[in-house]
Amino acid sequence: MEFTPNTTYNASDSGHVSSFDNSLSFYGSSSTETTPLTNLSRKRKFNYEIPKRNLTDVLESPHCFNSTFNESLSSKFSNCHIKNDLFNDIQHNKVFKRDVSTIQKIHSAPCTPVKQVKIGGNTRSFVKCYPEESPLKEARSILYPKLKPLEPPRRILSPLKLKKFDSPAKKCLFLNPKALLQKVITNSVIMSVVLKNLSNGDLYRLSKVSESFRQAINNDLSAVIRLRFFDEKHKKNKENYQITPPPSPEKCTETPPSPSNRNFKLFLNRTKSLDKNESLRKCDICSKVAVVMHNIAQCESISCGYICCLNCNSSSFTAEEFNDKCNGARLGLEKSKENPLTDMSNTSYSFFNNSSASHSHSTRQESGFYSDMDSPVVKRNLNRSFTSTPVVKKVLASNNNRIHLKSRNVNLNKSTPIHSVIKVETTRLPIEVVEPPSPPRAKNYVACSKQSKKNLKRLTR
Amino acid sequence: MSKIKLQSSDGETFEVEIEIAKCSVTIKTMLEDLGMDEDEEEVVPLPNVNSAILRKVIQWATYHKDDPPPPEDDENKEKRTDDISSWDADFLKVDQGTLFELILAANYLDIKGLLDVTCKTVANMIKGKAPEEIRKTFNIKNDFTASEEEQVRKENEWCEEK
Repeated sequence: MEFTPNTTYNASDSGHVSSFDNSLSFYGSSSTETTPLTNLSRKRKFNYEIPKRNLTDVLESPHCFNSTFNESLSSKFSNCHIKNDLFNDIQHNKVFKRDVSTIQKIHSAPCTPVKQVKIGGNTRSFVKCYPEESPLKEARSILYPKLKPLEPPRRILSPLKLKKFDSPAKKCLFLNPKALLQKVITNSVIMSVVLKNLSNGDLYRLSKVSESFRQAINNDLSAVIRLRFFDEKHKKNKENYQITPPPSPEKCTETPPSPSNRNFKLFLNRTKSLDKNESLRKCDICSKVAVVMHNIAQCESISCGYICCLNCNSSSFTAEEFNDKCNGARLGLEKSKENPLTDMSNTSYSFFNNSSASHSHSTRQESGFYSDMDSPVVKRNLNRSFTSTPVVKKVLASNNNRIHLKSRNVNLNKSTPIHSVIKVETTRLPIEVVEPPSPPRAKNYVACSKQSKKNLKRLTR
Repeated sequence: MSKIKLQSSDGETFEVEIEIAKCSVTIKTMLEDLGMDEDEEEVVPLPNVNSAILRKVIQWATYHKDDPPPPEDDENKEKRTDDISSWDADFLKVDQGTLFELILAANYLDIKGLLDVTCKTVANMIKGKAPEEIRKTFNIKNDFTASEEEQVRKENEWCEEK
């Protein structure tokens, strides 16, 4: 009986090495008997093995069920009387490091890597067993020397196990996102594409993230230009922020008028009848209302009548004496000397109502505002105005440039007249017909209503 | 349809139609320069792309094989980033590591469309965020010195106080 490689092959190939399989081979069972074992399921194997164990009494020895497999094998070998042959061969051929005290390393049949085996008759010593090369391979190499050995299947390795591998491919499989990001950032081509997709503001903020990002931006020329542009703009904005808040408010020299003041009411009433080019001012002398027109202020108070030019500060209490140094205004005295009846068509009511008709007319021209009095209807009724007593029309007076005409007419004989200081123009300005922005609403009167009757009466008159 | 085999860095081989493989300018140039015939079953090694990423790249290229060539870029014009198609958006719903690997693979294989769309995704992750938020997004450590950090903080005060 020989220790054939077949037995060990069967045991090792199936991945299930049992003492019973070996025992079968040693006790006269042919290899054909053992081979079906490999194809059987574990359950069937188990059922099959148990009767075999009963049949063979070899394993009755106390060493049969040793704690380890190798011990059981060795005990079986000893029972089979092949112990000496086998181990003599092993000792002659395959044992190495014999000098190392009592520990001997031998090559044995495939088994678990390291086991302690007691060998020898009286002098048993511990032997370290290392797995021997599979006998299958030996047989294979003998039978098919030219055939290449099969490659073992690739093991699926976990990332943790792969960490110890240094190959770049395996490294790449499980690279840290941080390292990958670093790779991306340092790649100028990729970063140029990423940066193109960002606005200037995003670039600015990205440059503040980390040094590597800043470096990546600096490597891209167009990004650098855009970043600088934004930076300059940002700095300018910052300057504006500093300028925008106003400094401490300036001290007001003039105290605002209180509504309870009597002058306030006067000023307020006067403002209602002001023209566009007129403004009000406190008289420097009496602190009463002074109308400013073309930078010449004229106090409306009859007792004061102070006239002054705001440009050159030339002033006078009477219109005759007033001489404007800056030629902003001239007294209209010469004009007043003209015969008022020369051109009656262009005169207005105010001409007939007071002695200063000429300048009132001129002021109306100056302002460019013509009241209803200048309309052809009014001109036709001039005769009636001559005969009638002078009546001051409040509404019409408000259309004039000078409101003070009202009071002047009333107090005409009491005080000296205040002549207008506004420059008189010889050429008359053309009448500008300004169309109203939207047509007035047409009032629809119901027939036989009161309003329609009134209108009819007016028409019949 | 003639096919070509692409081998990833970890040894896995992918059989791809040549037209799809030619989406990559790198592969296209390689085939042209080396004079590989379409009949030959040559394996093109791609040592910088692993199998997982190469699979995704092939998936993208297969979907976009009939797309027209991308237009030329206007250098001085800021690109739009909201024009990512829904399929691409779903395709790029991956972790950051995979996204960066896709970018690197697209750059290596010279696939402009894929590079554009992946870079747009990264740009969208950056857009409108303050520096600290960007650091959090990408898990970046602030490597500025204390003085630089103080300067950055001062400069960003105006845009952070909203």
